[in-house]
Amino acid sequence: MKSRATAFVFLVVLLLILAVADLYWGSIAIPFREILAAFDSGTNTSVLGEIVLNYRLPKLLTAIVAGSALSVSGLMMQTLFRNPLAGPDVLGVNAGASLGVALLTMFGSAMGGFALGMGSWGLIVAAITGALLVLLLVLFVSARIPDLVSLLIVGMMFGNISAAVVSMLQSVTNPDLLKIFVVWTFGSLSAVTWSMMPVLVLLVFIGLIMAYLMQKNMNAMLLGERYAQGLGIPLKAMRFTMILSTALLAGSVTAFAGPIAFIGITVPHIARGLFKTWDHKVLLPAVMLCGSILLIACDLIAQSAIFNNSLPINAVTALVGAPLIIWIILKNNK
Amino acid sequence: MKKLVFILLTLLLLNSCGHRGSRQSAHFGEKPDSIMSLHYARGFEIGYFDGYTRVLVYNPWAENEIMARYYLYREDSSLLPKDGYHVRIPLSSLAIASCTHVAFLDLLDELDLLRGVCNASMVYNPVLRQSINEGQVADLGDAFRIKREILLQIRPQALMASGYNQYDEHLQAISQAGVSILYNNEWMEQNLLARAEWLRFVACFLDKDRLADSLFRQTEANYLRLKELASSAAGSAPVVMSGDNFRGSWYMPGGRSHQAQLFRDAGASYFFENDSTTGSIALGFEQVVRDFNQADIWIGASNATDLNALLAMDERYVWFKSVKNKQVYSYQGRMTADGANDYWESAVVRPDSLLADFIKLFHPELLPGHEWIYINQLP
Repeated sequence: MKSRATAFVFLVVLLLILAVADLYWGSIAIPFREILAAFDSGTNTSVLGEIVLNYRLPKLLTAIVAGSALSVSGLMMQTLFRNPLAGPDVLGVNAGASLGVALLTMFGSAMGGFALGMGSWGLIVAAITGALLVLLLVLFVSARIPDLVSLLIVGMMFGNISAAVVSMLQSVTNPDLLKIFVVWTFGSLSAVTWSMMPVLVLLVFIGLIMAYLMQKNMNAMLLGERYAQGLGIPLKAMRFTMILSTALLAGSVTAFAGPIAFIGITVPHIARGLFKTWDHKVLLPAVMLCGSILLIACDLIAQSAIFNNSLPINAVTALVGAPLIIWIILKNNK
Repeated sequence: MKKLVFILLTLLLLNSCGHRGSRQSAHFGEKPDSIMSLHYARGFEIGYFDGYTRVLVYNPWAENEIMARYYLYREDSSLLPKDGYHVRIPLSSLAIASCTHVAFLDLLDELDLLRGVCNASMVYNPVLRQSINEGQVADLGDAFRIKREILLQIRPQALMASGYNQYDEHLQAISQAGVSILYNNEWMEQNLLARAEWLRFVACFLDKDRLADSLFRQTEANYLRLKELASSAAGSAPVVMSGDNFRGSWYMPGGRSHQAQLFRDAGASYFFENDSTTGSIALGFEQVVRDFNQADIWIGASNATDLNALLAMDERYVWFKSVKNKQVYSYQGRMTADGANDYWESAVVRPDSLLADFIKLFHPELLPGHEWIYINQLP
């Protein structure tokens, strides 16, 4: 028990250190006293202060929110499907979001630039609509077939259908619009501005509350569906809520920041390895911390001055996340 | 010893032949009787022989390498060398793979020759648009995946395409079917006048060399006169910025790009004016804010149609002085609802008009009578 508390303290300290580092390091050098000055008074109007308060700070918050949301949704999917390689994307919700954005950017041009005029909110609404549609399909299927593996396959197939439609769109669209979509698929933590933040935070907060309310039942589910049923847990309702919560968490993050790969799959493994437990009461806060830390670390790599320019966050998380999973699998099989 | 001297001398001679700048056509077969003198363009050569004209297109990605050879004849093709396309001139029909080439034909008054065009919806030229709508000119689809069957059905004498640094199976197949592929690599030229000078390349296939010469000389004279005018501008040069932020990445024109040339020639000051990049430079949003927030004028800002739409894309644009002062401009002066833009068409052959637009922007007092053609201010 004591070691668990130590681990939590360690993670919180690490998170704080990385958060400060993320504010300090960016693609340009800003002296530390400028950063302090920016926080010191609201009257600060220097350019560097603007960058810290209105660019780096929301980016940091987005990393924390997205890291937590993706990790929690990954954990729920791994519990639901009892499959260590499940992640938020197995439901096809992310693919639905990207289909929504693809339709808007590429078909939107036919509506006389209407889509682009709507700006970043247009992208968000399109992504949420796409994610919601796929979610409804998945819920519909899950209500009809009790078999989880089938549900997994159905989710993946929806993902494939979305991907196919996206590539069909790409082949007929004009290069300028295609670029907007391609850049969207890179993912971006800096795309979330202060005016969007409340909406993102609210959506993720609702998803997290749902997850926390289910923690006991999720523990029971780990022991098998029959066992859970024996304990009187309403399995169907439980599954419905888990899918809804995952879609809310992963869908809203994808809508606001674009696709961010591998955080959802990787982080639950890290947390379980660190805390040596399957108890959701411990794992839920643990994956939130680990997810935030990992995503901030990825942002530091992506934004570091070494590359002069920001690397796609989606590529960095995949480059960091995929080897971590390989390592975890190799270690567990020893 | 004698042998060694001979070898060294031979090497020296070969080496001197290979020097850039004195691109010896002797390198590439027979020496022509005369060569058309080009003022700026470096991507092609036109040589006149007895009975035919030889056009060489250099490979922009490999020094001293030929991308394509064309032998142009009027009556008799029996004496032509076998190592290139044999093209009977003037062309009787033509298809184009890039909308940037529309204006070359329009300027030479040869739009009637067109039978097909790629990405037909992206054509701005109103005359050509009408021919497309009436079905006289076919839409050949995407330039990288030309609809071969339609092309072979309309069977133009030649297809004018932009060369890319890659093997294109579609173009190869079209070429094997007997359609000459004319590589118009204007987009690889590093100078706006050089781009426009590809008019001579297009014209020689239409047997309009003289017309092209007088048209280009006029454009050149206009451009140089305007540039001279801009250099006489009184007062300090306005500071300019370009491109836009999309989810954290911002592409700024490099110091040797066409845009930077326009900034320089029209008398603006540009952060990257001493940079040597020919394409664009990828920057993080933070760097752009630091280096450009005090720029007076922002030109080429995304697809936004007004300032509110621009701010809807990213509210942080408000940090820029150019946005606060409403000095934001785009290239939508001549643009259709579906995105076809004359900036990519006629501005390519008329860099003088484009330069006039820029001078009007940076130093309005110099050209009081000029109305913007390609540029517009975001309201």
